Amino acid sequence: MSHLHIPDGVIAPVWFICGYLGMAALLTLAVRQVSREEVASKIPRLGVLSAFMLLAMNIPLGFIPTHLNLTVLAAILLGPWLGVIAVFVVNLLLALVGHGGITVMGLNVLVLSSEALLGYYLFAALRQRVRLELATATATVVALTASLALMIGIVGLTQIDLLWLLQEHQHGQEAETQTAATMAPQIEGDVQESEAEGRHSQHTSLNRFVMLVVPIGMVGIVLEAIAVTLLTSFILKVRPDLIACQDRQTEKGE
Amino acid sequence: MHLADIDYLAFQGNSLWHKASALSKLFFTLVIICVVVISRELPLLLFTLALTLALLVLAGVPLRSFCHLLLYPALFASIFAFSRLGTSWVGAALVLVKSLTAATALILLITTTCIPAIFGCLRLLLPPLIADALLLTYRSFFTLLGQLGSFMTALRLKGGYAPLKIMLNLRSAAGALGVLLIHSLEASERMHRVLVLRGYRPGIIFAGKWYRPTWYDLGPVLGALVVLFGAVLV
Amino acid sequence: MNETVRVKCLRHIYPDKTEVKLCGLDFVVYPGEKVMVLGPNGSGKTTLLAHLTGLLRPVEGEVRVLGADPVKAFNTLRRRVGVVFQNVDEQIIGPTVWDDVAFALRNYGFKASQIEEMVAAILQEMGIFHLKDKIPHYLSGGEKKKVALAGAMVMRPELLIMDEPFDGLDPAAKKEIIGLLGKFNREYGTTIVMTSHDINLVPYIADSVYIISKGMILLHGNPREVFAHPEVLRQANLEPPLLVELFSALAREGLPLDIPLTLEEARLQLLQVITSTKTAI
Repeated sequence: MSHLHIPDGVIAPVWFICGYLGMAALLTLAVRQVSREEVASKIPRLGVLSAFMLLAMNIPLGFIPTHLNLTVLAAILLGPWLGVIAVFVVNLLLALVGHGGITVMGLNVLVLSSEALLGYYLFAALRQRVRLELATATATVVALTASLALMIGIVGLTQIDLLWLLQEHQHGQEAETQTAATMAPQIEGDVQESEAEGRHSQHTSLNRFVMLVVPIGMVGIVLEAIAVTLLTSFILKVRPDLIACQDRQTEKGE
Repeated sequence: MHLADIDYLAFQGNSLWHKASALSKLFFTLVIICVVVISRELPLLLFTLALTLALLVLAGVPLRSFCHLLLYPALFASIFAFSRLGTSWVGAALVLVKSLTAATALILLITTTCIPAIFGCLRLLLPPLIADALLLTYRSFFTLLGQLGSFMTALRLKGGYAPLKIMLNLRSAAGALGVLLIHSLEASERMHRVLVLRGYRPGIIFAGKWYRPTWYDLGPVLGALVVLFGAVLV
Repeated sequence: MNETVRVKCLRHIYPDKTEVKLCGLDFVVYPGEKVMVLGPNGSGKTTLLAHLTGLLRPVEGEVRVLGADPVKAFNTLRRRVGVVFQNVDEQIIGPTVWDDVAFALRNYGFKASQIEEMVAAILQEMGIFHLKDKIPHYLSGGEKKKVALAGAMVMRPELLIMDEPFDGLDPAAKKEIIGLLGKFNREYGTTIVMTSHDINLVPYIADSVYIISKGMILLHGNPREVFAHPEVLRQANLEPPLLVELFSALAREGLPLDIPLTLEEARLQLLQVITSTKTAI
């Protein structure tokens, strides 16, 4: 469920460029991991599951300001690497409709891909040992908690630059009204002072952010874990072959 | 869902901006996003915002129906701006205008350009597998949306939805999602058969006629040049 | 005479262990025939078609299509066999009508100019050229069906397989599809195998009919022969057309009437009976 809703233009370019580069590297890896045979058999499933994720996101969860993402479910049904591609597809479509911001899309894909990869491998490791429901719920909770932590980490890192960006704007304006040579030491002093203030306010504001996001995030994680577990056990009842033999072509007909 | 309304608007629209190729509009959007990211000049950003909003109106996009799409980023931007900057109103305004401008540019792009056309251009950058996945997601979304609509109507008719009974609604929504998921997975198996029978090879879904330039492309290209010129001047 | 299709006592087991059998009479289709497979839901119609396309491998039984085993010769046969599935929404892959109809041609590596020509030709022939730039989900049910049919017919297949082609269509759209199928059959000699549970369409589209129920091929013949066995039709949960019921009843009453296939035939027979009665009086 953890993805960033940072508006475009407020995050320093270096961060979103890093995000995009990371995303490109991850997608390249993902595409290479998917074999040619798997492409033809899995691409329709990738398409419908991405569409399903988009639809599920639009289901309102009452007054709770969060929505389902179903990343772990997608990874369980598609495998880890096609799960990463589904994350990209969904995020691109969301970013195009202005949900989440196009510049932070790279970072969002990285955060959510961590959910898909961790969720899948945990599920794969646990399902041999415990009941499917428990494996799914545990994998979802752990993966989502980790991605929430990653998101907070990213916000913490990028906000330093946001503050710097805007302070530069203020100081830039002040500097224009004064002679650079004569006033230089004073400005430098101001900047140092303000940086210290900035670090302090950044620290408190990150605390505030964490205080706000963690409780909502926890509720979101619980809801997502319930949804993913219910859906997985539903599939297990109706079409167990969809989970049990992921790599085999499944057939069903009249 | 906004995507369905946006898609319809892009499909039905007949303005000059609609007629321009996806490639030129993507170029325009890219320029605006770059200006939003790089510039810290409020007047330039305000001018860009005004320009994109004017283009949105000229393209016949009903602002009233789509303003919530602008309000969403604006809301996040305001929370961001006011929680971080304290007293600096210039900084706050900057954050707000930047996010609004970027969002307007994106909405202008997707309400005037069919989504497959945008994917058609992105295909030039993306691996074939991902380009195909984008298109199949787009096709499946509308198929599933129709099914979900029928499920929801059936739920309402059968008393599975009551505005104040949250638990009932959650249970019904979970049931509908479960059934829809199985339907989608089975549909994907049938789609797989279709792909196999029709001789599918990755990257082939698009015939790729989307980015052929036309005279209408002058609009987005000139628009982008005006904004770039403004950025250089400022 | 060469056979286009032959299926002998088929048995298939799905991964969820559902077993589908199709025994009784052999299923045989000759070149240029329009064959309709009639049966209730769950009778095995779709399973039969899936075996003809080579998508399913039978556990037991024999399937031959255009002289080959469709599973083994899948890659060569799929260029000679066109398929239209029941749910066309799942079949239309391309983002626009043009892209979708061109899909198979592009997959098989035709030249761009050839593709342009062939797509334009089939769209024009089917009267849907004006839809070429449309996005599929904005088309009506009948239009979608035609687009799916164009996607299958663009390769000029020798055999066209259609699962429930008339399902969910209004009478006008049904009539148009029937007209198009008749035209392909006449002009290109396309052999057509289709399934349906709408018995009323038989006289308008089929030369040969197979009645299947609960995994058994119960009856085979031309429409008139099949309609002469209402008890077998009922066994397969199919209600004979009203005209057939009426004329059978009248024939049992002693009137010299045959089973009519169309309204026009019925009208002429009745006129004849009435005229001869008048003359007798």
